[in-house]
Amino acid sequence: MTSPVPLQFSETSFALTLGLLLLAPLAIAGVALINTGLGRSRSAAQSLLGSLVMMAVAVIAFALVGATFADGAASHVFQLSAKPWNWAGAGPLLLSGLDASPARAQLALLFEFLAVAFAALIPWGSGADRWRLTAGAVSAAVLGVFVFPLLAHWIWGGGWLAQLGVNFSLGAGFLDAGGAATVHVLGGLSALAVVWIAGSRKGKFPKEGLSTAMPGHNAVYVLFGCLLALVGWLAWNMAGSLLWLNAAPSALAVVAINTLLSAAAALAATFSVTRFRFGKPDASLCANGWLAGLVASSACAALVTPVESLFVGLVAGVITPLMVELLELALSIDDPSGAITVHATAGLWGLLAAGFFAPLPGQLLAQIIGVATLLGLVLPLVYLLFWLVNRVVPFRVDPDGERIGMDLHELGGGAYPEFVIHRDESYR
Amino acid sequence: MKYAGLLVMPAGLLLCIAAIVLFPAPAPRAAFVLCGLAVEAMGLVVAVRGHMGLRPQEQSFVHGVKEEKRP
Repeated sequence: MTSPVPLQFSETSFALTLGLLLLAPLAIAGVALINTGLGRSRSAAQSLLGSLVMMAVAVIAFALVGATFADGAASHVFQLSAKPWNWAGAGPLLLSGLDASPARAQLALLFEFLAVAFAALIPWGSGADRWRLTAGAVSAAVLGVFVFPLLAHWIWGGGWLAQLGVNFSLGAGFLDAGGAATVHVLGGLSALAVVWIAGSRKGKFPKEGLSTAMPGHNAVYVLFGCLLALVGWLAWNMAGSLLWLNAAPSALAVVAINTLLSAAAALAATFSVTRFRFGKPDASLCANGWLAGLVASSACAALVTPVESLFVGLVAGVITPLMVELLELALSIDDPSGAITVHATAGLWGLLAAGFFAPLPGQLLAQIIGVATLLGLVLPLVYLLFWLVNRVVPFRVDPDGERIGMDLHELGGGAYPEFVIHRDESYR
Repeated sequence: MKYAGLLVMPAGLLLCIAAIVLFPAPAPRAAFVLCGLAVEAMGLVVAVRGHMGLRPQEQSFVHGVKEEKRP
């Protein structure tokens, strides 16, 4: 399962992977729906259109430039301490020669296209109700051109993180079959950078007293998004296991069961924690818990047993509501979709859990070095790039736009035009 | 404060990388990698506290200029 040398794909594996990858966008659809439901009704159309725009821009940027750096066939390598450090891909420009490349490479590229779309979408929910569409699109381009391709090459394209096992005897190198690092932690840390740069929603943190509760406008979107995401996640984790861990098709049922168990345990844990703390279970936090279980499973569903998967989900589900509270009440971080908790924190936990439970000596250290790379390099890099983007294309909408809502301000029409929902809109 | 914290974080990663290059033995290698991770955690704490130190209306920038403070 963890052979560092990619095996030849049988026709069965090819067809299976392709079929799974066609279902994987349901995970993206689910998260987009969750982000929309957790935002305000006056920004719902902008939120869902923004999800499409972010995905489109990231995919185009990746196709034009990023795929060159992510390529796993040819690489830029330097020598340090008599070891090769593979730091960037050196593939053909503009995807030239793609049709002649091996079937496995084509599937890997398709996986990366879906992954970059997903990673770019995640921070969009955290900037809800104040992040301008144009600025979001430029940020997605930055992720698609530069940050995601490097990370994808390091982890999936035989880069230095993937080679930690060969070069430094650290297990099988950094393992991330389902995109916990390349998609979720990258997206979650980007969300943190966005929140830091764009600031909190107006009125969220008053000068005195606790932060103001700004609940999502549609719990049905949020919970239905969770169901959609499950289907996509099952496909995502199974396809990743086939592509990046060389798993046999016969091992996929266990991967799917582990994914489901992790989500179920996380939901049960969040349900119990919110029931205990607030007297009643909180729907949006439970949705975040479910999603956190899925994110954690992305890292380790192919590497753990079902019981271990239950434990991974349980911890993710306990962490989620506590972390959401910590960010909002103690750290003044306004994250409407909970992406920092759900994607970054649960993703990091899943990556570490993969190291704990994988039966390979040195695997935990390899996972820790991967986590250190995400925190020590990716977060500062993304913050720096987004900070530069913000100087040219300001992230935050002007105060009037925030007051009337992003739908009217950016699109000229609301998502629910037949209903007058907000008093201040009735003045128009 | 925030920028100082963000600058400390790559230093932690360099410690981790130096550890795997310089120490072939598992115990000192693991110890130094954990130290690197701890340095990153400190940097993150400093960055988060730097963000908290800003008043809410100062947290955002519009067209590169801080929003005007409320009276």
